[in-house]
Amino acid sequence: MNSSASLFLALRYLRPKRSFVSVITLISILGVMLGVGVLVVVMSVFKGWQVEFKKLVLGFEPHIILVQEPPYEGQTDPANPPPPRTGWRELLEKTRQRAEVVSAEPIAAGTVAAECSKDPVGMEVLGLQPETNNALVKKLARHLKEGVFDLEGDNIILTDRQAADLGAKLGDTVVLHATDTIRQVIREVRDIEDQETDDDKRAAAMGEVVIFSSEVKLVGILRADTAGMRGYVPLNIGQELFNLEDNISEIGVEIADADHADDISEEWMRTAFLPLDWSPRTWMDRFGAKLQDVENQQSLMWFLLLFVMIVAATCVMNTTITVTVQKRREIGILTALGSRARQIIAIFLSQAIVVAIVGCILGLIGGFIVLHFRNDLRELLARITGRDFFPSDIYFLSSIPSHVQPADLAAVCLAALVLCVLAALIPAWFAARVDPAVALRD
Amino acid sequence: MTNSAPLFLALRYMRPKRSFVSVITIVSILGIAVGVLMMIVVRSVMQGFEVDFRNTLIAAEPHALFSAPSAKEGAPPVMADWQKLAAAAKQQPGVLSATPFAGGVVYVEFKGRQTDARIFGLRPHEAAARLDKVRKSLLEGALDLADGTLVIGDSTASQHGLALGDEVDVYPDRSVIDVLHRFRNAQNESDADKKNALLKQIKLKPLKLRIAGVVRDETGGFYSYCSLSTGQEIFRLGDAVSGVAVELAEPEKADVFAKAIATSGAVPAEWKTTLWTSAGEARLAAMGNEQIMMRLILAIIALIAAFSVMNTTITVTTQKRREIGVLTAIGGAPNQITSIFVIQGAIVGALGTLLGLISSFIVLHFRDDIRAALTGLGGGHVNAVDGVFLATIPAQVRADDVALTCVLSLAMCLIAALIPAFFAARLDPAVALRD
Repeated sequence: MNSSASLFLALRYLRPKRSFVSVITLISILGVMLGVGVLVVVMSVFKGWQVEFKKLVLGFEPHIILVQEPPYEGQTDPANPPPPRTGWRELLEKTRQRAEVVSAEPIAAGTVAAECSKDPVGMEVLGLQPETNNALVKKLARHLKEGVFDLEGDNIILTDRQAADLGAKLGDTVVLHATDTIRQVIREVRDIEDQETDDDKRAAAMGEVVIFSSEVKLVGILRADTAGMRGYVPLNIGQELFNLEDNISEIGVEIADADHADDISEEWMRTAFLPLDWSPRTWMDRFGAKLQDVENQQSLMWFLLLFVMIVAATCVMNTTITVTVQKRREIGILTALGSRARQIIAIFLSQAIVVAIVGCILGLIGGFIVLHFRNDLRELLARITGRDFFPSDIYFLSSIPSHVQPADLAAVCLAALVLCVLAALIPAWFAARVDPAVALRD
Repeated sequence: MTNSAPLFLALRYMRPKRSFVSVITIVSILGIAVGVLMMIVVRSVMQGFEVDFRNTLIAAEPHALFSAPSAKEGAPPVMADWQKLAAAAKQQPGVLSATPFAGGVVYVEFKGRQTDARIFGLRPHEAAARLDKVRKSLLEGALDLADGTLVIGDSTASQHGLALGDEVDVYPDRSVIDVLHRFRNAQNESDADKKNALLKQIKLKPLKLRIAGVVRDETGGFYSYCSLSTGQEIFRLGDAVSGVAVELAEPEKADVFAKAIATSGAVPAEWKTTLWTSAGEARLAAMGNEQIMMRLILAIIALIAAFSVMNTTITVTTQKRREIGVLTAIGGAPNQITSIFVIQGAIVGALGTLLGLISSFIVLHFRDDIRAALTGLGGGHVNAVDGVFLATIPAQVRADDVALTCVLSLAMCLIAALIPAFFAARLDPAVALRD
């Protein structure tokens, strides 16, 4: 049978035959199980939200954006001249040749006031090249709800929410005014009004004012809940709108593994692959704060749920105390027979370990069951209480996400085990120090 | 001494003299104390965050806003019967003020640089309730709202380097778009005369306003203020207004007010009603959800703490098997024996709850010191909640919440003790005494 005397006795003392010990052991197991189960569910949902949010962001956000610094204005220091300027075409070619890059495309981006049948709405617009191998266009086209993702001609693709704000339907004409144009026009018109008093001269001067507005046709509508909140136009329209002429505002780079965006951009800067007047911005820079936020909440949760475990451990401690007092005589006999204190402690520790392991396994099973039925549970709760606990407009997701991470599970189980062992150690240590003579006399 | 036998026995069985029972009782009490401590501290801090956020919104936003749809290009402003609406609003209970306003988005220009701002044109004497609120975040100048003056947010002021008394140009958002339309029409016109005529119509007269005050944007809600007639002039409303702003004595009941006024029929058709909660709707809903989740998790802590009590009671009843047998044999009724152990559970529950209550108030009192200590240990991650750095942790102790926590914890302890006590009392005395 058992080769270890301590383990043999531990299992024997757990056996329900003669006494009540089994009931309190069961309750301790239940406590550990609840603690583990809650931790598993909460951690998995948090992790899942993080994973889903990342997927959502990567579904529309370019992995890395390369932006050129504005030209240096004013006095230059002859001893320390500003870096030479590198043309975007040159850099684009260089970027495309790198192995880690899937695609690199010129982008003309800016903010516009868009107008259709309702009041003007401000939005961000990206001008993209309609190339077939453009990975960014490909991933955006996946969110198409109706129409086509066609970047040839005077077209615009908007999300359904933006279209609703504008009051635009497929095929409608949308007028875009770049924000900078609006400012420019205010300035120019005011200058003319200040300087020219004569009506005709004024009209002539007004005729000189160039405005960069575009009329585009709405040809595609994207799902806003997966495609972000941007509008997309052909590159040449973007260049026209934002008065870029032949230039672009940024280069959008798609890489093979988006998780390495930060490493890659760092490497580009370190190895001087990137000219000094260009700087990279990764999707993590833009959305890192939000992900960090979730991580903070997650660690807060860990901290809170640790208390569930601590309270569960007090249960285990109570059980061990009871068992040690119950087995006082037996401990006395064992000590009198020559067992070491270590061995006696091991008896009760292995008992606690058995409780912890069984509790962990049951907790994991319970947690997985709850996770599996999480969306059914939510519907049930919503039906009973009349309140949706996971509204998609707050959490961006239509169903409760979950992502089980083995490392998290291991950490949860380890925490349960360590706390249970610590809780059992204290009474076991005292029990082992009982004077056999006293124990046997009682 | 005590004249109730169950109480006497309950206390006696807890006494540490001969056996270990006292130790497990203490451990149970500690378990409950930790549970109560967590429940009260976490709930209070979360409540504090929500109340803080709500107070910021209440202080910054108009409590209820009825706004007219914006006029179409060229069309005269819509004259709706706002007087009737204002009068009807004043009829409602708890309304401090219902005042007309002229507001919208403007471009503010100073020394060639532009920013946009949301502006509220109000009559100073009528809108006293609203302006009293704004006055709390006034940094410089005055809030008299004389005609031709503007009170601006500090972020705009610092962006432009504006000081009191500076003159800024203000353009309404709408007329800038109109100018753009005219330019487009003129550019599309091939006939030279017609084009000239169109170009002659282009006018963009700014309104020059003097800065009379600066308000803190963080607490003032990113609004600028001017007088009603100045607002009407900016937005070319004539005698019409953009809507009616209402301040309430009890902003928490804004939805009740909105419902009442909607049924009264005084709100003109096509007008939009906006309540202060809508400015932070998503976050308030998220906070509400978090609170419910948290309550669930905290209830599980209480449940596990109750398991501890159950364990203790089971141990005690088994320990006292013989005594229970004797008591039953000499005529102790089952409910008397049950009450011995239930009283024990109640004592454990009461002591644990009390201990948790006291320690939670200590923790809440020293929360900022505790955070400082934790930050020192853990490298600064404790600070950011919702991505916001807060100088102090808010906490709001609500009496009904604390009471609920205590009742819940006591009830769980009683139930936890009742189950084993019930079985113990039904012990056959012959069996118990024979063992």
